[in-house]
Amino acid sequence: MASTQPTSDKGRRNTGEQAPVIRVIGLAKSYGKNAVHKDINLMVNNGEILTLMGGSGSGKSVLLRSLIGLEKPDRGEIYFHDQEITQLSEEDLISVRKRIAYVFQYGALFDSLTVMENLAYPLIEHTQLDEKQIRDKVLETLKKLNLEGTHNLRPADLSGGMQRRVGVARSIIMDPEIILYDEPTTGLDPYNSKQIINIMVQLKNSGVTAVLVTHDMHTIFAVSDRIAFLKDGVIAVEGAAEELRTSKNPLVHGFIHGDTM
Amino acid sequence: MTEMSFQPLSGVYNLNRTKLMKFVEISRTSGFDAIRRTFDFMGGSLNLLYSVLISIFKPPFYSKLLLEQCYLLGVRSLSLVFITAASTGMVMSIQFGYGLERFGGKLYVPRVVGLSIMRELGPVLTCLMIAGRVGSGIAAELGSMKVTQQIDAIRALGTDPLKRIIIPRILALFIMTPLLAVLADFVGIYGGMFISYFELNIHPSFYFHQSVVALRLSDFTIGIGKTLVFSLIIGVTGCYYGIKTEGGTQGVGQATTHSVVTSSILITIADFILTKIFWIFERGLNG
Repeated sequence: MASTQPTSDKGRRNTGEQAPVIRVIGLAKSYGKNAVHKDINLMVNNGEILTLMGGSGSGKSVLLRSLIGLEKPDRGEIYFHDQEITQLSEEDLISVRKRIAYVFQYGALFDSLTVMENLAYPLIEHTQLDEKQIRDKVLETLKKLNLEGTHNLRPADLSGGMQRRVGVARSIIMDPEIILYDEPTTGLDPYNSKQIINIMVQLKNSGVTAVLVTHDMHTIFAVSDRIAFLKDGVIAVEGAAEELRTSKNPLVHGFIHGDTM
Repeated sequence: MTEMSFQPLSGVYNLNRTKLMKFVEISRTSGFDAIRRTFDFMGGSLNLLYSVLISIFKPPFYSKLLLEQCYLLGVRSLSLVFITAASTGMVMSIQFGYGLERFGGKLYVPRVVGLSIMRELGPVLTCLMIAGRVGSGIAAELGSMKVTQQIDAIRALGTDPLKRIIIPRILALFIMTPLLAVLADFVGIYGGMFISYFELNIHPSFYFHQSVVALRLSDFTIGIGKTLVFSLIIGVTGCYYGIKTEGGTQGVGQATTHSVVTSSILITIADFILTKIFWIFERGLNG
């Protein structure tokens, strides 16, 4: 599937071209004797939302974490534009992580900080904005996500759905090029799920590339452009979301309709 | 008949043999596991200490976080250290007072108590208390951050957990522990003085004079010097077990326990080694 030659940067946001911004080549990862990834090959195009689908323990989240360098693969390469990231040190990965945001399953908000401080964290660390500018940016981002009035609260004072949205807000506050969503709607009620889906669609429409890991079929087909199906350590099936929705492939059909893993 | 009487015995023998084999197997695996964990800890904590020493002088510097940790780990331990040191001084005065009185040596109480507290009990008890309060707190806090993916979030947001959460804690302990030990030294001696006055009829001015005469600067500096090593033991152990936490809330509990037990054991071992080294060094200096 993906060619092994790196491509050049086609710009931060969607230019209408289907240029790959992330390319995974021959990725392998094992935990002890458990080979989670055997030979993963994958491409994420500029401006699209690619969903990683598969049974529990199939390595979707591990793959997502690998894309931002939170996991080191045993073998294989991951290109972010033309930069190979699997060999980068933690220090060198910082420049990559400023451009790729990660939305954690349960928000992973810093519970000792307020919502304002959580959102201000990346701005304080990576920008030269003054205190007022940071405050304005935080409040503006909270407003975008219908979270007005929460800035002085701590994560423990928020509902699960609000925590997820604050997690998304913290991820997008630096205007990332790519967002990696790790099960963003899992365990949420329909209202909060819809809110998260709306945010994802808005971000997609503004040209942000995304990789999504979820089991929620509604979310998958509401936002995905393409779907990659992980099975036995490889991408077993890959294609456009609409193609896979109507696919007769027994693996995909069975998974979507809950007949098989 | 012989066979019938033999069979049950054989069964018992087999049963015991099976139990014995199981016991041997469990002992072997748990023994190996303990050895493996010990080596994991030694390698991991030394590696962590090395990373801290390498990174501590490189920017960015989080001075605000350092000050915050100095307050949380040091200032908020004041009452604990105060009570421990005062109690120790008072108990020692009573014990030595009544013990030495039988041999007519009651007046040596200030010297004995002063020396014991300055060289040994002040620093060691302070650090054991800090290991219990602060070391466990660090392990629990970092462990909770680990299992709730907050440490991953720090990394994902393009910052270094070593610089943001580990170095401020270890450095704060390194700064605050000797200061707490100084406090413990003086509170311990004053505690001894207080109880000696009321229980042993030793006048405070005499007590103070005897303490000053008996104590040398080296007694003070050796005690405080030990706390620098102990503070590193507490900080590195707490951080190591915190960031290695796995398995949810149960893992956090285990990390906390391991942190306190390991740092307490290491403090007592290090105390013996340092005491021996300092005595050799002092003897060498004094000819």
